[in-house]
Amino acid sequence: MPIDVKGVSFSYNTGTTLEKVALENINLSIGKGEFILIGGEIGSGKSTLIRHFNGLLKPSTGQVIVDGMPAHEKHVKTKVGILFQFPQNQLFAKTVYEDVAFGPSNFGIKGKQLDKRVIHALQLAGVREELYDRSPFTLSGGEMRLVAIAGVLAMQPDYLLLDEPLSGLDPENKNSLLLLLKTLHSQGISVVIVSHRIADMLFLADRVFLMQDGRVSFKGKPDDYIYSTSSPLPDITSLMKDLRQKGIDVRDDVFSIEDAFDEITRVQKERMVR
Amino acid sequence: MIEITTLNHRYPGGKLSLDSVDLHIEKGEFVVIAGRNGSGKSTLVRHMNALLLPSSGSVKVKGYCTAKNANLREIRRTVGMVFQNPDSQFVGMTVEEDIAFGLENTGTPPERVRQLVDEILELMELSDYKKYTPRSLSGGQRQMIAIAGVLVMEPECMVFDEITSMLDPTSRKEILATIHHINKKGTTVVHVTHMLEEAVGADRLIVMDSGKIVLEGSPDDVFTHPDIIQKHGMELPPVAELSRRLYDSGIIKKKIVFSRDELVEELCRSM
Amino acid sequence: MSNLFFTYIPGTSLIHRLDPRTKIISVMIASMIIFKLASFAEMALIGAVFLILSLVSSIPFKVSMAAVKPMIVFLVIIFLMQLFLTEGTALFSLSGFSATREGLHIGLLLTVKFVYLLLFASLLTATTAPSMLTAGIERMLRPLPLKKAGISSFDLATMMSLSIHFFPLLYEHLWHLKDAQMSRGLDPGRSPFKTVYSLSVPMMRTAFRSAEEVSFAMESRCYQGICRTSLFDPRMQRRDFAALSAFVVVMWVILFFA
Repeated sequence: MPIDVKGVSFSYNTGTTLEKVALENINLSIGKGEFILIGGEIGSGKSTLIRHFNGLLKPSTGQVIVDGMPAHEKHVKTKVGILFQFPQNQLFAKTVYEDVAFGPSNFGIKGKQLDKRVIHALQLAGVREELYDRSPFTLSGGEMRLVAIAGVLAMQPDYLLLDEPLSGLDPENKNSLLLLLKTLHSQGISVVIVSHRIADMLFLADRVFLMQDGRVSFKGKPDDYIYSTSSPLPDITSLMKDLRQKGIDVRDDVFSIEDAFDEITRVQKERMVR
Repeated sequence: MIEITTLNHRYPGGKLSLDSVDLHIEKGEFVVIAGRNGSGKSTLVRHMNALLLPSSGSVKVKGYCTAKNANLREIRRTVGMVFQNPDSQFVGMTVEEDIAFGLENTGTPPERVRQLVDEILELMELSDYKKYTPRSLSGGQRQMIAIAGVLVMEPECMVFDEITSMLDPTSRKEILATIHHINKKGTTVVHVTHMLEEAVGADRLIVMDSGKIVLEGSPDDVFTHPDIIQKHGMELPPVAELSRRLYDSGIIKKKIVFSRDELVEELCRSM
Repeated sequence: MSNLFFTYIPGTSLIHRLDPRTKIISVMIASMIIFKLASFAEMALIGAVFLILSLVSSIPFKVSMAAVKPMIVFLVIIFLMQLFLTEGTALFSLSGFSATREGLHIGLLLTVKFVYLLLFASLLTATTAPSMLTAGIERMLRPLPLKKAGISSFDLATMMSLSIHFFPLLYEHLWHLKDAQMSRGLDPGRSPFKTVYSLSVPMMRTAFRSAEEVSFAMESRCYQGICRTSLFDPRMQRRDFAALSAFVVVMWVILFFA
């Protein structure tokens, strides 16, 4: 069952002179197990859009249906987890463990089952065991991020939404986060990433949406995206395009170093044979 | 310009965050300092204008020791600093007020402040926004304003502390171009980042980890040690990484290539 | 929260062009007079003064109302307290408390006084750029012996403008944080204690961190809290003295003759 967004429009400050239309007639559907990127400039409506997926915002018109339920029902929040930008800012509890338990316990999960969930989430996020009883505020920035991620994973969402997850991350943290997302995706969780720099993540995506002025301006596969966009492409993709122009017959729908390497070696072998 | 000798720094109750760092920055140089989060790079640059003071060792700016309170004003006028998060470095309520802030602090007469602010707004093509609140602008524009607010004081050296890390690729390119431009006009530049590709075109690249300098040299030199780079949590730029793998499997002859055009050329030659 | 709440509305009216000190002093005088007033006739005259100033400054009335709206609950409470807690001739009674004629009179008067205060204050902020306002306050504070208390008038003025600047920023943080905790199932309606706790702890941290960051940014731009100049250099001119005298005369007339 998917997240269905049907004819959704949304305005801030409705009925006042400061009314601002943030979303205009959005129609899209996100299937279970999909890996989706939502791109667009700041103010294009992408953050407003995902706040509709778990009912934080209610559409002015239209509706959002998650697995057959209206998105504003409380239960939907267990299905759709959102990891906001700089999630380390949301920690508040006395210990790491308690903070991670906050989400599931809000939905009435208790005792052994709660413990199992919390430990599982902490392990999945890669939080070291000796930190479980520490105050989250004594951890390093990177560790705090992992705790916050665990806090969302502990709700065991079917859909994991992330708002600008790479902002301010160094390469190491970026790679380990992307690896985690890949793992979750392979376990059947839908991953939706909202970002103004989606080029770095194209190689992971099943589908790409691009938002512009509150509308969806592009919907499609990453391969189609690179032919239809004027926004920056991954360096690797641009390189492959340049090679094609010089008459080297490589595919140019390639986004990662690994794929580019394989593609170049393949073409080179072909050329050697000839 | 800046002389750092066996600098140690310890935050209260913490472990050593800078461990005997020696670094000399020449006038007019473009130095990039890279390293993973928590490597000590931000701590290091905060010593360059006396926001932090050495636990031991010394930092001298144009010969002025940062530990002496009397040198503070001269040091901060010499070394300007732009920070990562534009929101929490704005002091003024409008763009022009924010840019004026530093000049007001140094006791510049109002008419002169007005003139200098208008000039810098013009120069950085921000004039249209001068009455806006900085927060209503895009991330890239906000960093441009933050840069203008420092540049207007005409410091001899500018330190950019991870100012690109929250930007989209297009704004990042613009900001980098601006930084290079500022350097070409003769200002010494220290640029902190965790993206090694931002070091392309710099005079010197310094990689830090655990409070120490672990690699130092021209970017070309540093990039020829991919394993050390990786060990310290950094990553080669994608094009360079690809070229390294292509070299390893004998497809290209040149050990490492940074620019896309050059790699295309290299591949055309060898395929 | 309405975005018009005590906002500056740029303009070129005479009132906009007055020195901030003229306006600040006038509002101070008006407040004193307002609290001295005792009859509805006097109140009506003050209302007329406000309307005239409002027209001259061409500030739309809804801007002034925006300053009053968020306070309505507070105003209603003041009114009801006076209405029920003042002793006198009973009008009607409600679960043991009786409303009195005197209470009605005092309650109305007091409520109107508060509304007037808000209205005059909103006129000040609507016609004066925040930076001008702080520059004006800084100038007025300068002769005070603040140095003995360890602060300078520059410090005070900067603190003021910083808090005006940081309020929306912190508000945005709070909104963000609420979304994050609600996404983790927080239900503010059902568990108010948990809500306060899970929002206030991170908010404090954010506020402290922002304060640290901004102080780094200020220091590295040579801020030392001494001897600052200002992009805006308010100067009292002839029109300021004229406007101020006229205002004082009008207020005096209302106080003694109405």
